[in-house]
Parts: sequence; structure tokens; C-alpha cells
Amino acid sequence: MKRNKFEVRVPRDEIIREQISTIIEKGLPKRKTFLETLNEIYNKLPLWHVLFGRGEWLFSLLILTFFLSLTMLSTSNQTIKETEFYSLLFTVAPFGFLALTGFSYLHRRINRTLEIEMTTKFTVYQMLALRMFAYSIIASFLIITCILFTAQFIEVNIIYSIPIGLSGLFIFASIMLLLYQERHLYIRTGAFSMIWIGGNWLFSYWLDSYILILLKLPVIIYFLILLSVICLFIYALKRFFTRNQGGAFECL
Amino acid sequence: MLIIKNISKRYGDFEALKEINMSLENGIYGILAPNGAGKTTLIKMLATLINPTEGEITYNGKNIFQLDDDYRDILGYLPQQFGYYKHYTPRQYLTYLAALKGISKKIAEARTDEVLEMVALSEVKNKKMRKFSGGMIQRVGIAQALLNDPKILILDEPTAGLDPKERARFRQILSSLSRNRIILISTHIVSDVETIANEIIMIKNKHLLYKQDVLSICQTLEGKVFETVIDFKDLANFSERYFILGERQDKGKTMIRFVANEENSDWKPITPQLEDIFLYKYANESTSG
Repeated sequence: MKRNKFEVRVPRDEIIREQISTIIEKGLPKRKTFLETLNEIYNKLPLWHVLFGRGEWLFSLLILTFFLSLTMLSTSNQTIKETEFYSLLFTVAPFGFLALTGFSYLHRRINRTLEIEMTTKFTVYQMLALRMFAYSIIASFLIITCILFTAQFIEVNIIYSIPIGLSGLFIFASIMLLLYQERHLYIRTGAFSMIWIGGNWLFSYWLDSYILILLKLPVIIYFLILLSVICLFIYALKRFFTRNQGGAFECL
Repeated sequence: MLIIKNISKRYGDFEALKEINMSLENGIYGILAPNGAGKTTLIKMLATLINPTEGEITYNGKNIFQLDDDYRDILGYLPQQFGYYKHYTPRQYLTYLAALKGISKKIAEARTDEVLEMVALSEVKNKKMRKFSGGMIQRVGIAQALLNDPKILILDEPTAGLDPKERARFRQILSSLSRNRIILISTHIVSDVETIANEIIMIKNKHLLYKQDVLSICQTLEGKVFETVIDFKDLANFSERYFILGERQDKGKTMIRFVANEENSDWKPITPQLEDIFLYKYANESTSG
């Protein structure tokens, strides 16, 4: 019997790779975009209920009282110089935000609710990102209140103070968001806070005259810097928000 | 179908689980093992809380870690230590968790009432949880796991703190739910799963020991479990030769239940129970932590 010679037509490597990609793409669920997820959360989550518990409100009031008292004490004898105030403001501004974020995290950690919250549809990162966004707004109000309050006691330029304080807040918050992506959360947060205080103290100590020069810059520059920093914060939030949660329990 | 393929988990040099393979279809599965055997590690991986070091877990052919929120959308989970906010009422806490589970407010309210009714907490649904007993808290935990009507329900030590009546009710609830979902119950209390589980999963020395129905597992000791009465003074000698499953003192005599590889006309053969297998297989392991 005569044997037929069969020829198997094997597709080229690129076509095989393309087809594998198509199969994988169709097989895996389509990842939602940042805006799609935001929209879903907006429609399904009672944000007010999720973001602000009674504890968060009380704690915000406590922070405000603390900072106002501190401001009053440090400015009542008028020993603080204007330049010192700006560098102090830049350094201290994020700590209201840090305290609120830390409170929210510890509140869940102590009550052991994080384990359950990590198995729900909305990720713990999304919730944390939303909370950080909300706390940054509260912290902004705290900073502005403190600036207005300080202006009653010492001579400071409110228009300069606001972008300086808020820039400090959003730079700090953006770096915090990037740090939250990895393990050893406490150590990283603690170490970064120390570096922030130490670095700013050194900066203000060595570059007092530099700050004076900076204050001669037009105010629009400060607001442009603030705008860039807010964009950085939103970018960091977005990265955090769309992060896959699998295995997050090991980061605690 | 949930498939566990060659899963291992290591924490540095410590190996918590090694090469676990199994597939789970709708029904109840009881994971029986002493504490420290690796059952909580397995549970946490199935709940996507921790990543396996090796292997993968798929649900309907897709990796659960890649499915991410789509998987958690169909997941109900009760951890070993159920956390809650003391100043919340069960209704408030369940509404909060329903929101995180992506259940719309309108549906969440009705569903919250429904699950609280299932666990018999309707009467106290508006009372602060700080005054609740351990059993009541555990029932809130079970209720939250049921909120999203999950296709996969994972319960880690769910009957801890429940009294016998509550345990019976809990078993009844699970039986009624098992028809169209996968239910995994991790426990070291044999009676929790003996009567309701379709299959028992036993883990020993980080490996899968059994994944079979109760009857098949019990058959592994068929013809080897006996009862007899001896004098108390002979007990030490007897226990050196045979594995004692239980003993009872009665009028100066000791009634013992034991495992032996031989037969004796003075011994009465007994049908092995799941508890016997558990005690025998984990003879050298601690069950207390």
C-alpha cells in the first residue's frame, strides 16, 4: 500500500505567541480600570458610613485640639520666627494625616476586623486609599485652621503658608502610599517619619537663608508646586487602588 | 469546582504545608486536624489572605489570586478569631460588611435581617455587641459569612463558643445550604463534621492524609477496634501493648476502647468511629495548639 506523506503545517512562532496571548486574555477576567472601580464603589458603598466611624470623628477633633493648643503655646510668647514657622509647618503638617491613618489602621488591627475586611469584594487597599484620600482632606482643613489660628498671634503670610503646609502633607502622603505596598509596615512608617522630621530639621537648620530666598518667589510658583504634589498623590492613590490584594495578610 | 494543585507553603525555613492536592465540588468538607497541622494555613490560602509558596488554586479553571475581587465576591469567610467593633450593633456591623462586599444598600438591609434570623439573633439585632456572649458573637460571625450568599463558604473553627443547642442549629443551617455551594469547615471537634460532611479532609505532618467520606475513613480501622473490661491495675500494662482510645471506670473495673492488630475472644469488636481514627492517627500530636 502506498503511504501518503502528510505534512503538518505548524504556524510560525509569532502566531503561536499571539494566539496564546488571545486565549489567556479571553480566559482571565478583564481587570477593571481605576475609573470603573471608582464608579462601582461610588454606586455601591455608603462612603460616609465606611470612611468615617465615630472614632475617626472624635480623633480628628482631638488632633485639632492638640495642634491648636501646641500652636497657641509656641506662638504666645512670640519667640518663633517667620522662617521657622514655615519649616515647622512643612514638617508637622502631615502628622495629623498620619495620626488619622494610624488610628484607622490600629482600630481595625486591635479589633481584629482586618482579616474579614481582606476577604470582601472591595480590597483593603481600596478602602485604605479612600480613607487616606478622605483623611488628606480633613488634614488639609486642620492645617488651614492652624495657619489661620497662628496668624492671630505672629506675623505670617497666609497665602504662602497654605501651599507650604499642604505640599508637606501631600508629599508625605504620596511617599507613605508607596511604602504601604510592601511588608514591614510599622518599621517603614516609623523609619520614614523619623527621616522626614530629621531631614526637615537639618534642612531648616542649614538653609535658613535659602528659605528667605524661597519666600521671594511669586506665590503662583507655590501653588504650581502644590498642584504637582497633589497630582503625585493622586497617581500614588491610583496605583494603590488598583493593586491586587492576594496575600495581603502577610504584609500585616 | 475548586482545585488545589500541588500547594506548598513555607515561612522561611518552616514548612507549613507540603504538596497538597485535591478538588472540591458542591458539598460540605470537614478539615480535621489538630492545631498546628496546617489547616488554618490552607484555609487562609483558600481565602486569598496568604499566597502559596508553590502550586496554585483554581476556581472553575481560573487562578483565584488572578480572579481577585471576582473570587472574593463569591466567598464567605469566618476566621478563627472573629473580629468586630464592640460599639456596633449586629445590624450595623453586618450593613458595614455588606457594603464592603459590594451588596447594594437596598438588598443589604433585607439580607442582613435574613441572616440574623438564620442564626437566631433577630431579637438582639439592635443591641450593642459589647454585651454579647462568645456564642452570640460567633453567630454574628457566621451571619456575616452568609451575607453575600457565597458559592464558597469557608469557616475556621465555627462552633467555638457555641453551646450544644447552637451547634445543632448551626449544623442544620449548613446542611440546608450545602446543595449548591462548597462549604469548608475547619475544626478539631469531630462531632462538628461527622454527621454533615460529605468528605473529611485530614492533614498530618503538613501532608494530606485523607480526603474521603466518613465511612471510607472509618473502614481503615475496620476489625481493629475493640472494647473489653480489665482491672485498673492492668491498665498501664495494657496501654503499652495497645492504643487506648478511651476508658471508663465502673465498679472497680475499667472499661476500655482500644486499637489492636490481633483478635481475642474476650474482646468485643466495635465499629470504628471517626473520632477513633482522629485519636489514632494524631496520637503523637498536640490538639491544644
